[in-house]
Amino acid sequence: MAPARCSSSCDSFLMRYLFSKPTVWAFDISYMIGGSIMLLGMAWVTVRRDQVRVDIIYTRYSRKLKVIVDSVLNIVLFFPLYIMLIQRAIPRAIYSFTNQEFSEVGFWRPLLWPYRWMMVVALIMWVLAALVWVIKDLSSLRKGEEL
Amino acid sequence: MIDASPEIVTVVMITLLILLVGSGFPLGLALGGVALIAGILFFGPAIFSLFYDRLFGVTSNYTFLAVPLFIFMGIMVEKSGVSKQLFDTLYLWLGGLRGGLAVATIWFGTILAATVGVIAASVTMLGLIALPSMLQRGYSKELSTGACCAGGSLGILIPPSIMLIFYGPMANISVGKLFMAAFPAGFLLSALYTTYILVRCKMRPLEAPVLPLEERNVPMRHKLYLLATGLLPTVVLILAVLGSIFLGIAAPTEAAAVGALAATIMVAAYRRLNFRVIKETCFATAGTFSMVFIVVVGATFFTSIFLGLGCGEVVNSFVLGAPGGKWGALLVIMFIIFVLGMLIDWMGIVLIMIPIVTPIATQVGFDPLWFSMMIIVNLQMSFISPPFAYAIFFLKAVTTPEQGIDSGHIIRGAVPYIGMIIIALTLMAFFPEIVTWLPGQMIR
Repeated sequence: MAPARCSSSCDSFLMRYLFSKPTVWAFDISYMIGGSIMLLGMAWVTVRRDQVRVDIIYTRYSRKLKVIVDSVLNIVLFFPLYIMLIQRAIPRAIYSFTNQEFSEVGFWRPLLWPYRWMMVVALIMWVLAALVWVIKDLSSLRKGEEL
Repeated sequence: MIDASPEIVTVVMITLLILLVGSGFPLGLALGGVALIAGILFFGPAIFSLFYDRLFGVTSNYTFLAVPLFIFMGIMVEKSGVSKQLFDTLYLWLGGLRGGLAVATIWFGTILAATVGVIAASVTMLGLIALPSMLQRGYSKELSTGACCAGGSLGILIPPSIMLIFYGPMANISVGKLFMAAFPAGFLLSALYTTYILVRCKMRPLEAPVLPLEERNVPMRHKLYLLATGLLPTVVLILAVLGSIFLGIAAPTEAAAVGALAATIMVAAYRRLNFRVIKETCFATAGTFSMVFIVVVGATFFTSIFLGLGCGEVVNSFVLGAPGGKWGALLVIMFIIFVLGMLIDWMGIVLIMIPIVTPIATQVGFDPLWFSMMIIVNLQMSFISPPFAYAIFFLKAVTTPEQGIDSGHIIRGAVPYIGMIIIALTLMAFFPEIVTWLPGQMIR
């Protein structure tokens, strides 16, 4: 996950300096960089288990129940949704590359495929990050370890 | 694919959401999960294309980009170490007043709010800086903790607050206008809190002893120096950011970028800028930003399915069915938001409820800007009202055992401020100009 961290922090640093210069490319660059930080950061947040929860009841669970709730819901809800999303994202990224799709929102009209590929990469990293936790949790549960 | 009436879909989606969120599954993933289930059941597999486009749209939203920049600015201001100095300054100037320290806490919260914009951060900071010095000076536990909760909650109201940046695109209101409307609303609350503290201290002088003379006896020149170095840079920073939005020089995102740069310069001026600080700030910014956005992405999926299946109309007719015309509808909405505010944090409320209730308000003829301010001020109330008050939890987390503070003290301290917020809401209901005047003066 280190690359994700580095790239996102470098990005946010770069972004600040690019912003105050109003040029044609500022708009596209800024949303692309912003989007990259956000998407890549998701994997990082998942690795650190920093997600926002409504923890009124959750904090009272036993360690075992926490693991079960997280793992089961991850498998039932999180993975199908985002794996399907990746499956949609890859053809779009390929299409974007082969057809040389341009961005339509600004004046500069840069090529869009790097950004679309970035989305694919970020989503895959996010799912992997969650997968690591689920496997780790379940294996510790099987061994009956108390973490 | 199942054909079902919107009423059934609404009930199914809301029940599922309550169950999942209540189980403690991360909010963003729970929202996405409900969208997934409802989408597959009632829409079919075509929803994944919709989700992909939504994801692309959310990540490339220009207004949202103000969020990381304001977070960056807030963390930078925190790293500059200016907050401690800020409190010391206020403390010196207000120390002679009965209850002055509690007033200083509220004002401190008000000024900090403008740089922090996240409730957890400002309540925590007040608890660490202001609370110990109040207790040390013999202020009652209720008075000091109440001031910390109320002052800290202002963080999400007074611009530039992150919540308003999310609120704008959700309700189709310009973020700049929201900022300008929230400014007077925040100051109204701050003034009401101050009045309350002063009146209370007048009536019960024992709760808030005056600062001993020897501590107050500081030469005027020193006081002015502290004011210039402690208060001025922060205030100038905030006014520069808000002013450029007000005068129409910069969009919120650009103003945020300038603010981030200015905050970095400020840290440099306090001689605390080094590579480590920058690195830590960047990482913390990226972390917070993505943490919020996991929820945003989930909520976008959820609302697009929810509204796409016509559930918006179901909620709409439910709310409009309330007796008392448009004011009855307003009360119902306010009540729903208030209850939700006690249970889930503002992110969930703004991202889920705003796209649903805003059309209702427009339909019955409320000014959208005024309506949004009512909701936002109402949210303030839910942060400090027990049993599930975020401000109280955060404050409890930073108290030390020696201070001997239990939740009871904090709750007794915070409850009177709920009354103040209700007064503010009533004032705003009868005099909408309080919030609509300043945005109207904006140069476009």
